[in-house]
Amino acid sequence: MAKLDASNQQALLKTVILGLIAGAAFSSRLFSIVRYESVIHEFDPWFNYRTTQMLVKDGFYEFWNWFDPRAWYPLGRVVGGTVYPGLMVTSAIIHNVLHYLHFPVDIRNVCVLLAPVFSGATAYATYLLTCEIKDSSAGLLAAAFIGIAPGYISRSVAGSYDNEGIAIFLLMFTFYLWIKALKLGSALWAAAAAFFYFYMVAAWGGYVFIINLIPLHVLVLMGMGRFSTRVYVSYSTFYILGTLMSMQIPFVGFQPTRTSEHMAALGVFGLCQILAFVELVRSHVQERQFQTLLRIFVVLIFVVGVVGLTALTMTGFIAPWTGRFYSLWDTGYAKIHIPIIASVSEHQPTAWPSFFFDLEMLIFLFPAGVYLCFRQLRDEHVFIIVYSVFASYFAGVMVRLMLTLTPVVCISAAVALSTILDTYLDFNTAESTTEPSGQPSASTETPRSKHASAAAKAAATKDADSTKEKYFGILNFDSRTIVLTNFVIFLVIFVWHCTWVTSNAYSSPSIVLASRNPDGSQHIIDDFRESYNWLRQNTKEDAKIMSWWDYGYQISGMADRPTLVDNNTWNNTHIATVGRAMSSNEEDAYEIMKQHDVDYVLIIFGGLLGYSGDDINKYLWMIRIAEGVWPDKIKESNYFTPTGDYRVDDKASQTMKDSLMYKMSYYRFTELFGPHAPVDRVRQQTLPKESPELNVLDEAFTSENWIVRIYKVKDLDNLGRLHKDVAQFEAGKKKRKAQRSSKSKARRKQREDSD
Amino acid sequence: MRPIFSILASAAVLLSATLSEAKSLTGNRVLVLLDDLNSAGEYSKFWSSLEDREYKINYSTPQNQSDVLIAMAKRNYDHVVHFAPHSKVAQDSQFSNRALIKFVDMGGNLLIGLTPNTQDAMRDLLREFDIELDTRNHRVFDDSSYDEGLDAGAFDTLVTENIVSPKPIVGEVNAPILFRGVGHQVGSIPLLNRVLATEGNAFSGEVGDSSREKGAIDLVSSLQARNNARVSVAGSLDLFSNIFIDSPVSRKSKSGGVEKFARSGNKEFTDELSRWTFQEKSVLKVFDHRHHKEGETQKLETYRIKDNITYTIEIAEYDGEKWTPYHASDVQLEVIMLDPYIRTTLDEAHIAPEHHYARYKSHLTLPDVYGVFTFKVNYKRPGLTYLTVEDVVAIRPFRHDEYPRFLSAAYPYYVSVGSMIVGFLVFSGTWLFTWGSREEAKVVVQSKVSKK
Repeated sequence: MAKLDASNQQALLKTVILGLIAGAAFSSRLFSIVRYESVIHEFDPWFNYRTTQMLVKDGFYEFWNWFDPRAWYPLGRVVGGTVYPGLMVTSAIIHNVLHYLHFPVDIRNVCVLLAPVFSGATAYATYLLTCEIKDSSAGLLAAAFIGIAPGYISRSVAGSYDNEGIAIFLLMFTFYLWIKALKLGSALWAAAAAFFYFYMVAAWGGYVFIINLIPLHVLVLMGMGRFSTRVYVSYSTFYILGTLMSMQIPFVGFQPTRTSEHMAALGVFGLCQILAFVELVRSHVQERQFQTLLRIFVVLIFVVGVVGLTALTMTGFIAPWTGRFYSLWDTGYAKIHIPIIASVSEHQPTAWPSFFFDLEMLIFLFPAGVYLCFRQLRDEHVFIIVYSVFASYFAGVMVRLMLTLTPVVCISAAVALSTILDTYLDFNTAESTTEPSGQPSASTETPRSKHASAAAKAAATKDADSTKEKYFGILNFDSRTIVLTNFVIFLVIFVWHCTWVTSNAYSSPSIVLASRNPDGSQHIIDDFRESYNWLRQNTKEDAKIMSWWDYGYQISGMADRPTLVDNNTWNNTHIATVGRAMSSNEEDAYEIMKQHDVDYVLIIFGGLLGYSGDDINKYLWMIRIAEGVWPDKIKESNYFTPTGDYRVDDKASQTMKDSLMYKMSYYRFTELFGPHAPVDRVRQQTLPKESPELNVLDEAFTSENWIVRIYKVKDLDNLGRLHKDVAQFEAGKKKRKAQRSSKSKARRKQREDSD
Repeated sequence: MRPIFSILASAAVLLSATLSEAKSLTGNRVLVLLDDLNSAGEYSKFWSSLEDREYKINYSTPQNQSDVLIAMAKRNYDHVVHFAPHSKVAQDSQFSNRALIKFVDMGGNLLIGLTPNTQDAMRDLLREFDIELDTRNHRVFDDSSYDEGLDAGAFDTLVTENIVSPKPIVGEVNAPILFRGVGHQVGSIPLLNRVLATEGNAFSGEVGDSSREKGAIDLVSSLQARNNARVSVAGSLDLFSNIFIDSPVSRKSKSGGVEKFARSGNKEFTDELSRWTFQEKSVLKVFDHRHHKEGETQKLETYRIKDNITYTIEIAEYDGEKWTPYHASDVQLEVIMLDPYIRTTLDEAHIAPEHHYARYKSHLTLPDVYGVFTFKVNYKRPGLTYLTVEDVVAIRPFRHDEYPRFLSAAYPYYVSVGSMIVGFLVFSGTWLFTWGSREEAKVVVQSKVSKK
């Protein structure tokens, strides 16, 4: 075999290692397929999948102009204009290329495997970025980390066909190109960065992160007195091209010029121009004149800028910050003002154990890496520092933003770890130590304790800046062994932990549940698909399904039926209407359902199985959201017991017992228990013995484990009677004469409302 | 989409095809329930009037369980004449209240005759129609308008001309109507219509009781259920009897004299009432409804905002023999998304006289709001078949290539783009040709650097 020279060997090794990392990243995301099957997961992916199918079938222009009358009935949704199309277009292109090459791959498999494939690409992008920060060994480590870090895997397992799947790759690659552009002062690289920024805008709403982080980086550089033509060229190119391109996405439109989220980028762009102009003036006038000019100029700019911005915001030309953004600064804000945002679990503040859960040892190495960036503090290190601070804060505020923190943690940790490895695996220090040194460090030659070597390392780091010659390697075999063994163990445990977390926590498709039989074998609970299939096969094609918004995408994706609300929570009032229907008594709910032409109501009930993500547990959010719009109709406090407990047993408040959601959940539930007391296994409460009465709905379907219950909305009575009276009549109970007058009034009301 | 014809209309077409000779659109099978089969003769004129209209009549009693109202989820009869208010009916009987309600829910028509001594079961049934019968043994009296020939001194054989019904149920009757029986009060649901009421001074109570409050008392009422099945309730069995039908009428007139009529209006009235109840008249049908873009003919499921469309609906009325054009000036079209965005009256269009329907048309511009809209003609008039026609259409926003181009307002931007391009070319040209060579430029830069 022909011998390769050192650099070629390195290149070959790197390629092989990167390939293996990509393979590992890909395959560790396949647990969900192996365990379950190749299905689309959760909620949002179903929408992405459905739109992708549409895109592949009808082509791009139909997709672009798609008005979907089956979502948000009867408002409809302009899908083409309210969607980040990057993900769908990517899959469609991959699908079409494969078909052009005569690989007849189903679009579902493209969608299912897109995120794992892109995680390989993310590993490569992270490698490139870390190479710019330190060197290729750190790069390889960072690639390995990002490849298997649970914080990223949680959003990119096979089947999790969501925007984040490709967005993290784009985030990393855009940053890499930005660093490259900044280093070289190159308009070409900056344009490339702008292009990938555009791709990111097309793919994920999190692009706002980029368009704030890069200007912040530039601002910090300016503050450090590092403004240069490199910064000017790269940022100006990036901003102009990036903004112009991002405005081509219909969903973004004119936002980059009109919303507060984008104002930082615009401001920094303006500042760049001013600074460049000042530089130009400085090079042409004398020092004293320049000082005066500068002072006037700065004051003027400041006044004009502040007044202009305030005026534009006040007049409404620049939209104020959105609620979602406020909740980033004040975690309690959403809970009070916008319950619909607070109701999403991934918008909650992060609990500290989840940092460890998602990042394991990386979270400890992360500060060390940031510290090492401070040590060198070139422009790109400033970037990493800014990114770390920014992302750490946001990850603390919202669970979901853990995703943006993960890459920088991987990079920093890789820098820290590779520095340690460099130090402890450096076998070439023998020569350097022979050189005379200013420090009293004969210790390097003689075997000493670990303490001494640590001191030596501290001394070495202290002086590393001043001269390179004062560097001391670690030559002691013991200390090397101890430290390296430790870190090898850490790494092994890290891999172990990542695999365990991936397989146990992040690989469940959530539309299929699994439990263990007493003998240890797996038992699949497939109630969701069973019910959606029932809807698909047993209802009219245009039967409108009312459910809480969480299930909207799944219903339209799997059951192919129009829904009232779905996971694209753009219309709070419409969601509140559904919340109100669920939390009102039967008569009010019926009125709302009739007005919205509802044919079926679908709820999730976990009381039999102990499935805690059911609608009764989400019920308080429905009530809160409804109360936000109709404070006079729905009162949250009415749903609690007098002692302030949230109960469903016989101590539950009357409003609670009368509400449609309660009735639908527990209707005929008691029958399962025969003579025994019925127990709700989620709430651990004993229910009343009598099943609630349900007059305006008919039970249409209940799935095997009672997780999904579907009710059909009754028609108006043929003779104009109230449903309650009809039920009584059918049961053979006589009506009382005395009730007449009030009843006919109620009837009149119902009749007037319905016609 | 979903064209919802009135249930009756489609059922009517089917039935009129199979039972061609029937005048009623529901069918010609009539079941008469009597307390006592022997009493059938008392109403023979009414029966023969029905038979003249080609009905096949079966007589039975509620106790006779061999006659089945509903079998195998199908009606065995199309109409029930319930003249058995005194019969006690068990809950599981063939003619229990539940069975009768189910019969109505399945589209059957019901004509009920009552007496003051009506059983509780029948009272319960009436309550389901939101009709409250007066207390047992109470009857209606009128000492200012009674028939002098038939009345036995109790003032309970009323003479009334107070027909309060909407035109489509009972129009004009030329002679006063004789009535002896119980009054009732109708509830407020709009499915109900009062048909016949007493004149001014009537009151209701037991015999000899005159302290009751006076006022118009309802004698005959009708209900048309949402599925267009019809139910009529008459507080008097005698109303249909041969005696009343044949009797002349004489009563004190308000001026003090005696009004005389050769024959009572009972025949005319009962015929009209039964014709309405058995769907021989005032039945409407939507023959066709369609909508399309102005200048096109194809019915679309999706329109664009601000499209101009034409909506057409064709309505016919059944007159007992054939379908004829239905003329009205109050047929309205609504374009609804939760609330009506457009509500417009449809104009009757002129069509050739050989058509047996009337055509209503409207040209409208769709609203500038996208969403799922319902084109709805909701024509519900007292006594007439309810018509509800719905078309669900999506109204979509402009496509990317449908927006107007080259607006005059955009010219400044075109100019600015053009000037930018020209400026860039000029600048580049000037730069390349006037700033000299690369070396010189380098020198300039270097000298600048050295200055610093």
